[in-house]
Amino acid sequence: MRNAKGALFVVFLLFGMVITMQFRTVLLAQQQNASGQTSVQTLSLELEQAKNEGIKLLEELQKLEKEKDEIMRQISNDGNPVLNELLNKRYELSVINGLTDVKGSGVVITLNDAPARNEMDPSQLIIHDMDIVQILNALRTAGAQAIAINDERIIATSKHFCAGPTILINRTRYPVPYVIKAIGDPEELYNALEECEAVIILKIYNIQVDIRKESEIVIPRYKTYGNIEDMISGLEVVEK
Amino acid sequence: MKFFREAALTVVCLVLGIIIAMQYRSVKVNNSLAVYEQQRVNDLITDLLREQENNKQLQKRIDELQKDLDNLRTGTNSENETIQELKKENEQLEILAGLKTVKGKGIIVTLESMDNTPIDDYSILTVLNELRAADVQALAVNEERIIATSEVRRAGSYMVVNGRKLLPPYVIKAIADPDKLENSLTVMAGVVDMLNYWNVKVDIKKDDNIIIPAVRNDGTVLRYDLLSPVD
Repeated sequence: MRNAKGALFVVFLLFGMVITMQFRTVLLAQQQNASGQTSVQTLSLELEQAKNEGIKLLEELQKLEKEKDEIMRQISNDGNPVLNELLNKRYELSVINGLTDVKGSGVVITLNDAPARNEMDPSQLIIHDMDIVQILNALRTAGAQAIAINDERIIATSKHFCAGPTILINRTRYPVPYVIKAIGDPEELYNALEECEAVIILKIYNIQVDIRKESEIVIPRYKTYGNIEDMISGLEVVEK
Repeated sequence: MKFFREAALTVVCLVLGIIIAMQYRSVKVNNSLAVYEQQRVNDLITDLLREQENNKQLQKRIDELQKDLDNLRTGTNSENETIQELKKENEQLEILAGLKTVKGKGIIVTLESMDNTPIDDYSILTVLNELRAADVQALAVNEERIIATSEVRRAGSYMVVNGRKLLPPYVIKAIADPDKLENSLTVMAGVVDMLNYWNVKVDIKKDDNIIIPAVRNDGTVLRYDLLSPVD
């Protein structure tokens, strides 16, 4: 009989302690959540503002570049053939470097993550950077002359890598869906994508893949944030 | 009386057990939520810093252009100066386009198969992608300059880059900060580990005088005839 009372005492002691602990964790969790939420919110807001500012600055930059071009054209039209030739050369080089907006026929491939299913490893349901790399490679092999992912022009040194469920392209992070545009022979590009191993595997894993041939695709220029100089700062020309 | 006491004890113990289990689970869930939250905050901070840096550079460039424009409008710049400036700009564009042979600090990565299976294009693409992520400025595979439209495709036991056959071993040259380039490949569970797992031997050498040749300019590699301007 005394044993039963003792046991009861211990059980209620534990009971009380557990209830207090539970109460405290819940309270603590709520507090944490609230502070985490606000910092995520303020950061998101600041990020949004910085992005919007960036878009405005980029527009202004492009407007100024256009203006400068026009003024130079005028000067050259006033009768300076050397200047004119240099301007033409610069335009051609800008096209090669992906520094002009271009249009043409080609293909558009849209990739979106598969709907989540419990029985599979979630890492197989999302698109990885190497999938993108292989798709770009297939497009290049098929003779693509200009490529963009989510309207970020791909140049020789473009980075595109996976950071969680998003992808960083050039200097901007994008969530799914990824829209890859390529200008070239639509037929060849389309077939190259259909045969691309990465595309076939993505389809097997139920990633949403949509490939369309289009007669007019517009691909924007590479966004140069700084000087061209910064992009070639480590390169010294070797005269041959 | 004894029956009631025992029944009460059973009920209390049962409730206690359930509560302990719930407590355990809620702590676990809270922990994983906190980790997720922290990651999200970290991501946001990285993004924000990058955007701010972008904007700073944009502003700098805008200021420069504004100055150029003022000089052009007021005629401060003589035609000769404008010509010199354009020439310089064109040369920079030629370097960027890979039309010039260039020299600089960087690394040389050699890939060699350790068994008899040919190296796959995937291996080379992985290396190139990592190097790009480390802000590479010029790339070449077996002396073939990698430009925006360069493909890397395995055909049997050799590789085709820029439409030209390359034989193993594959030597990838990259110009940029050598330490940064090397680290991008040698991180734990990174490209080097992965390639070794695939029986590909990876040799990385830092070099202060890497020469990367210009792209072949015979009209087969640099093609832009299908691109029309947008007004």
